Amino acid sequence: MSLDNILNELFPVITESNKPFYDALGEGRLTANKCNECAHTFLPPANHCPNCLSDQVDWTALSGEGTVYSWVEYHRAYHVAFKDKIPYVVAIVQLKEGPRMISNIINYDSDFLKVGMPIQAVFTSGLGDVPIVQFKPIIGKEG
Amino acid sequence: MGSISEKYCIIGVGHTKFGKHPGRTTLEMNVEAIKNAIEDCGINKSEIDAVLCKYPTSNHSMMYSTQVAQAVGIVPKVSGVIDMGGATNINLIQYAITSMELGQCTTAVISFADNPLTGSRNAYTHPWGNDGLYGWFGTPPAYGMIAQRHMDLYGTKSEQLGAIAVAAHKHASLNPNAQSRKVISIEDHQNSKFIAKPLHLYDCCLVSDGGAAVIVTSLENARNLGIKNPVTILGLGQSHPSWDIELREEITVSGAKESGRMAFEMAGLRPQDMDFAQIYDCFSIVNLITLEDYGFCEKGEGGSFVENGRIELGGSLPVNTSGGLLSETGMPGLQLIIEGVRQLRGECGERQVPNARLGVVSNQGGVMTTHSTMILGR
Repeated sequence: MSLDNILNELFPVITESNKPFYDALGEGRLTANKCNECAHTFLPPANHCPNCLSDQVDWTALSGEGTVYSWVEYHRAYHVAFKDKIPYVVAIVQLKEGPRMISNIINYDSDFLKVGMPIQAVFTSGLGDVPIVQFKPIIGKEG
Repeated sequence: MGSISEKYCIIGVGHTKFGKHPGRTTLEMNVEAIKNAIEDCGINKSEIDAVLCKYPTSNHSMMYSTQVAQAVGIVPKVSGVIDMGGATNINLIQYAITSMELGQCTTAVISFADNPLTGSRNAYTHPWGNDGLYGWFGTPPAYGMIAQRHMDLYGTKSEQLGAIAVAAHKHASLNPNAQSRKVISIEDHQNSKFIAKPLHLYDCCLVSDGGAAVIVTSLENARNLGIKNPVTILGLGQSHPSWDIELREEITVSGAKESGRMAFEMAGLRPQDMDFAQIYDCFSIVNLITLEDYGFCEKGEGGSFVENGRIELGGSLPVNTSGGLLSETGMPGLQLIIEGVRQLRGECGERQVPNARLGVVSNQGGVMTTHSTMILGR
């Protein structure tokens, strides 16, 4: 199997409703959907608001600030492309504006990583040079 | 319609050996399990007019219950496959009872078999959602995420999860059917490698081939069939949080809370009335959270609840008396129902809970994605 094929299952499936989210990541911007009717701000992207089911869904810019909702440190690679990356941390990120997302914590010290720790978005490239957003601890604000 | 509590019962249980079944199909293992369940209650196969199945997780196959029915030579009035992961078995029992209430069938077999040990485990290793580039794969890490939050919020310790694994392995050592009969210590648990920190190897269930089946009918029909030892279904519940764990309001609370509330209310019983609990333990943390959500202790106190032998045989609440998924078989859930039935029949030998009259069984699937509860009595 070629490397492209191996990486293929890792790439997000781009749809009409999520394309603006991934395009924005490529420009170093983190965005979320915001419902024009009930103001619910949400991820993952969808063309109907999961709260009120309105299809009047727009985009809003996020600050990239958040906290660690929870995290896990991988000690086994589930995919050949991650073999050299263990140990690495996947976290549920609680974004300041409300939505949560899955991402990585980078530049972390696992002894100090804690639920509730403040983190900040860093725009990087994932495997295959696909733009992603990871998070790093905000130094001096750990509590 | 009046309450169906105490109206239906489990009359037969059966299973294959738990462990490796190289070269056997899931259909063949379903047939063996169903045959054993029929022999267990001694009824004629022709009494069975409903065949309900959970499809094999490793190898999804369309309309699977019709394949099983065909393989056991039954043309069922009612048949179906429900896909709620490890919660499916109790949900199928609920479907069987509902169909009996509608008068559409009288005796149902519920069965499951799979072979992830010698067959394929691919079903468990795909990336979650659109997040493959973040390395977000696998079931153990997703449960690790839940365990880490429980630890950070409530001070739950890895050694307390270890107490759950120690109890499961101790019970399995008394169970001739168990796939792993090795007794372990807290030190063994702590020294086992991290699979997804904070979860160690011994926090994770076995991977197993095998099949199991149970037969359900009304108490009235059981009497007509001359069944001596029916185990009565007193309560049922189910509740299903979100598919993506990050979208749940609180990941340290599972569907067990609402499902348990429904089942205990239907049975008119409280957690403290239970003589034992068979709790779905694909990972040690699930056992702990389910005990909290069922109300055996307060949220956050599961860690201290499971310590000091309380959940071991001889403790105040023996949990997973056959070894559970951690040590009897990793098969998703039907064996916990079977162990509940055997305890209430008094068939458990060395691992028998003395005078067991009431017990609760939990089933759950995904990453605490689905949950179902059943309360059994005699």
